[in-house]
Amino acid sequence: MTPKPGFFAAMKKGDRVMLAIFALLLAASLAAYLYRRAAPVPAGLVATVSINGHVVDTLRLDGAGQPVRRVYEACGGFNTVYADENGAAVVEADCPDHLCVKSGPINRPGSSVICLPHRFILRVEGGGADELDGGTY
Amino acid sequence: MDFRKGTQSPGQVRFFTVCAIIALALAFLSFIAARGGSAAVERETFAMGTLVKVSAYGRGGASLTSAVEAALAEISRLDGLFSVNIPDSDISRINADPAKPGGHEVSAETYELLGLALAEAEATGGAFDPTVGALVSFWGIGTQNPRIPTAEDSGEMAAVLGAVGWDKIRLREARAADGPERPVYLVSAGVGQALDLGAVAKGYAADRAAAILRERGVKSALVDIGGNLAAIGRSPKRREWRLGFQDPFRPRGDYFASLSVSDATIVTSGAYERFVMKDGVAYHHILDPKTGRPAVSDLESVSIVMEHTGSSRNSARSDALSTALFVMGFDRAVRFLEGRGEVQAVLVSRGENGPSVYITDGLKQKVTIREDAFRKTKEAGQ
Repeated sequence: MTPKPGFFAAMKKGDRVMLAIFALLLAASLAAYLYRRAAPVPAGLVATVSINGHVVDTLRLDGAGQPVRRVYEACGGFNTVYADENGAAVVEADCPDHLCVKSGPINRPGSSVICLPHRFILRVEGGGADELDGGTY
Repeated sequence: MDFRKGTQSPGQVRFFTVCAIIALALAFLSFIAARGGSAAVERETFAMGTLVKVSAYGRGGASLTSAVEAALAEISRLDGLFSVNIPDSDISRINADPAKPGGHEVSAETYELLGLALAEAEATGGAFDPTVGALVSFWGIGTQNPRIPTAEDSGEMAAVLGAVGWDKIRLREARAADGPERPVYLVSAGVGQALDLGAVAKGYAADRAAAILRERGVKSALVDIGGNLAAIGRSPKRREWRLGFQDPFRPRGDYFASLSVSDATIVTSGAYERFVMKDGVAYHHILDPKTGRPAVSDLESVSIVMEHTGSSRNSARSDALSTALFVMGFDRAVRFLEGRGEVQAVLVSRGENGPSVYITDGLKQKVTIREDAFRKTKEAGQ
């Protein structure tokens, strides 16, 4: 639709105010819509370390950093984590069952190693979110 | 704006009309997009000997937070009633003196759960049995010193096995002396018996937590108690929930298949979760109440799916049934499932050529296999 010459000049003051409000509404709606629709930027693959429900460390698994070996003092004991570009694993712990060590390395988003006695969780995140909302095990 | 006849040209009227339509359309799209980005409250804690996560989605941040916290508080409260590791829990008090004359007074929840457990024990022919507590202690499951019995322990083991039997439990409802309107719930067991609700309590807690979320108006939530899932409504991604089935041969969180479902519970039992190795043999934690030993099953895992049907206890039932069907093994499990349409299942069997998967008819359209190694199917009678 192309307005005739003199279209805007013929407008009354109230029309211009309304037009300005329309324009603002359009801009605000478009901005809000685009903001909400924007896909989150996929983060690189990381391993998060949580103790007693709190994330205490984040280790990169994307090969950008050096391999790390860290010891975490968890509830009444320790868990040692090794992480490199191939994944992360609990390699040593003083928990009674050592299920966390037996779990082996993990490298897929969503996979985790849980040490219940120490309330310790090693979890792989990022790298393109898995479409799953949860899982049964 | 003055639209009186004669004050606007037809071009101006069309222009303003188009502007208004575009503005309304974009406002509508913004509203839809804003709904998609509704608030999420996710809380994680440890209870019932496992990791507990409650996630709720929707509008009303404060009420959503309060609903999630109430659900978590309920799970902790129930843990205090059912745990064998808490000295003054209902179950610990019963186990300390199982055959107490007159029985032990317990909470309504313990009474209800025991009633449900006994019903499932009967339905499964004892493949699930809540009186395996003494056996669990004998094997040292969940302790710092798991035990592998030797031939010398056979006498002790026979005595412990002799105490197993769900039919020795007595439940009785009476009226309190101080007020006839107040019911009193009484429980007694056989001499030497010990109760262990570990194979049903997490499901019951998931049912209760989901009920609390629903009562508080939550329309979309996921309760996860150690892999026992109760899903409310649909996913916040405005589709059905997509929930994974654990690959029995991979680390936790690796899923071989997924299920698309709304308002349902899903519970899995598998030998891979807890086990002790000795002389190259893996001794897992799911005991067969008939033999007193880790169940010799041709199944790697059993997942039970039940849709929410009002005020039911489907997660508790699913919890008990997943254990029972694992103990039964493939053939008995499939026969059990026949004629029980409300109970759907995914069974993973192991074989020389890799795993095979049996899916009940009600789930075949809802389950998607994600890993090629699990594409081999198994049917009844195979």
